[in-house]
Amino acid sequence: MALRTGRTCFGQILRRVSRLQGTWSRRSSSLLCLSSNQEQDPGGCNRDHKRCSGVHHTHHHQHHSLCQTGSDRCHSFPKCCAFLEDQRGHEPLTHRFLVAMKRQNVRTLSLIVCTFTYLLVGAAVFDALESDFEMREKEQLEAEEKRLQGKYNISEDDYRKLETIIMEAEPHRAGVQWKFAGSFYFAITVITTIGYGHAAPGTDAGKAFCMFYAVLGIPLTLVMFQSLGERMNTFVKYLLKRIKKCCGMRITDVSMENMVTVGFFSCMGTLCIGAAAFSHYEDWSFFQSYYYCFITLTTIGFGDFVALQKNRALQRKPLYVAFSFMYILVGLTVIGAFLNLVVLRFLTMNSEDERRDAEERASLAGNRNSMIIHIQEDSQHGRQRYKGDVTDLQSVCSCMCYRSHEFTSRVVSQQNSFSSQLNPQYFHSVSYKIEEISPSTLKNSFFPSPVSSVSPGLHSFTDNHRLMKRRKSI
Amino acid sequence: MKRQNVRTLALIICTFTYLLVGAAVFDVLESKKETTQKKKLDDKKQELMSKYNLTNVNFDELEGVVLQLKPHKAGVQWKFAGSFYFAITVITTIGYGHAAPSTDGGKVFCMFYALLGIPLTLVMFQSLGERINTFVKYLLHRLKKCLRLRRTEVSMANMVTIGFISCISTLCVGAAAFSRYEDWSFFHAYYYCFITLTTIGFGDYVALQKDHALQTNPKYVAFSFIYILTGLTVIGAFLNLVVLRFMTMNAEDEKRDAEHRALLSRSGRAGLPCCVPDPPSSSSGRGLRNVYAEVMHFQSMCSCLWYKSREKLQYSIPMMISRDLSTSDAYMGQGEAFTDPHANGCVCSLQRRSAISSVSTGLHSLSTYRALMKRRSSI
Repeated sequence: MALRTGRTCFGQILRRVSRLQGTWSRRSSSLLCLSSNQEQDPGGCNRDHKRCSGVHHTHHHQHHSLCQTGSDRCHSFPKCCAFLEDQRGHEPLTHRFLVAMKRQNVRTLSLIVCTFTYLLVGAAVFDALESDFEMREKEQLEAEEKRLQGKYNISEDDYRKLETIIMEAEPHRAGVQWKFAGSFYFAITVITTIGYGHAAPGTDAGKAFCMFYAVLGIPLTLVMFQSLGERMNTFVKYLLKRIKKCCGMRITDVSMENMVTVGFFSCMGTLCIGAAAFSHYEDWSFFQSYYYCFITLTTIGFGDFVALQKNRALQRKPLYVAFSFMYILVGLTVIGAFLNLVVLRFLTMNSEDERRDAEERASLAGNRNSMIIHIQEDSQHGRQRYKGDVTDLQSVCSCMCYRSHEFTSRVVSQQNSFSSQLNPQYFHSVSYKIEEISPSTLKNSFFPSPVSSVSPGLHSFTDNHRLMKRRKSI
Repeated sequence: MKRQNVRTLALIICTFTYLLVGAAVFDVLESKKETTQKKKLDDKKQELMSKYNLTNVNFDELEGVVLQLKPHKAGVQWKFAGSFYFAITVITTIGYGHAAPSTDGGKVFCMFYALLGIPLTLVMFQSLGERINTFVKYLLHRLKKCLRLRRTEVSMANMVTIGFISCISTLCVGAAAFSRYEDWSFFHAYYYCFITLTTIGFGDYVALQKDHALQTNPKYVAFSFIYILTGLTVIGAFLNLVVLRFMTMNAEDEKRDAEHRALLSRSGRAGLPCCVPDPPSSSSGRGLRNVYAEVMHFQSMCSCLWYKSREKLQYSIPMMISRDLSTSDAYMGQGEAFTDPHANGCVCSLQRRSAISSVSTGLHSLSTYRALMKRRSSI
């Protein structure tokens, strides 16, 4: 695909390519030649050639000679070589380091730093907000404790006993916790990782089963909520599109902003509904109920406020019990849908980058005479990267016909074995051939102009397309 | 029914069944102990009440005080160390509840803090987990090379085994440490580590709550924090390895369906090859069209191969391709107009290289297919 890249992107291309290893530098020189050719008129490469060769002569003669050999093949193009590794020596050390460091590592490091800073800031603020109150409350309670102890003349030992009794009896006060309804409630708190702790397994067998139960249940629940959340998002997107059509709006595409807005409002709505319901049934204030719903649906689950613990609701109010369970599961779905919409793509970023790097390495390794520039379309960073395949072939069919045999031996198809009557290696080599059609090649050959608009790489194009889709669309 | 819907329904049913089964088992395991313990506690309570002549009201009063004092008895909870501990339990969603904000301001800040902190932490742990997986994969690869094994590739089974073993050892290391510092049995300490690192966080066992450890034992405090964060990273790495791909399955299927629909709908429009002179762009809308145009053009270029290629494709290319190709028959005639028989110079060699074009037309889908398989099967 002949994307018109700007000068800044060109520099980025240089840097990116310069990171390639030594054996590939020869390839990158003709790559640069051809990519510049894509940008400018065929005659324009002469300028680059002068610049390139200037750089060249000062440093690496052997590469220059290799470039000459390479450029013999690209007799459609001017002899243009830039030795890109020179660029590296002129940049400051830290800049070079950051550029040389893989994107994933930079990202991971900054996330770690961010999180630690966030923790420190949070700790400081909580300290400021709660410490005073804690001190005061502690004094008050201790005074009250002493008073009562004195009033009833309870000895120290007995008081300790009393304390233990009271603390152990706390869950019992709230009702029967382990009959079926209570166990179901507990099972929900385990697999959703809410974990109030209002009831915790007392027996060792219960603890052991709880662990095994969680090992299988938590991933199942995670996948289920994400799956259902994605379905909900798709449905909402469909509804929005229909609404937009109904309203007769010009643009009926549902943008990310639309979806995020709708998602945010549904989260708020869910929290408010829950707050209203629980404040009615549990006799909490609206704010306390809202706090309870929030802490529950984010699966933090402190346990300071727990539903179904008053008036033996677990045994006596089956409707309210059912409502609570449904509310927790539906609410978690809504939150899960929002997370699926907004956060999930970030969870897979590193893996995608790693995969792309691996593909890039594999293609470069398998292809001595042609190169693949990965310049990734990244809407977030605003950088223009395209994956363009550069070739030194003159025309599609003839090159394929005469050169395919060169590539067959070099190709490795590693992980996938798709059943085909064709030899996978041969297939792979042909795929490179297809990828190696650059629009300028075609332009400079005898093909009519419509062809030049055609993307140079089916494979790369779809990948890019999919990646772009992944980044931009829902 | 669409694959994604079937999958989602199946997951919902699975989860509900899982909950029912779990509830039944917990009921069986815990109910009896609950009733006996309750009876014992009631007896003790009655005994003390009669000893000190306490009425129920009096006892409730005492009860209130004792329960409220519980966090205070465990230590100062909101000085910096305690707040940091609390902040960790919030953004990692562990949420012990050993200390919870009492003031309204604290509650409000807690909610906003969680709103930003939880996604940040999720992304951070997954990011770091992926880096760890990559590093382990690299190490394993080198190890295999060193040991001069025949196959030096690292398989998924290798990675899963290592991940699992590291999770178990993380739990064991924590269990050993906490059982020593907190005076718990090894099993209880292991249970604590498990409940913490899965972020369930009941709060029945909480570290740093004995002997004012938060204030007096800074090294142990530091160890606990580091253990929790590192342990979560290890678990996160394992989840990244095993579970994350399943969370994106629906979205990927949806995308693939959309691509196919787009491809099919565009092939239905007769004027497609003529629309090809779009300026090259990377917009996703035109991208697919360009791709398809290229496929069409390629077919038209080596038109003489087309007839041969169709035969081969039907056998070798997966089903999703054959539909595309069958609809492109219509373009054969139009494709002729594009070809300059002298330009491509492939006429003479067509017969020799017939296999080439036969694969070329299906390249798009095949590479997609390949990429998808890569996505599913690789780490």
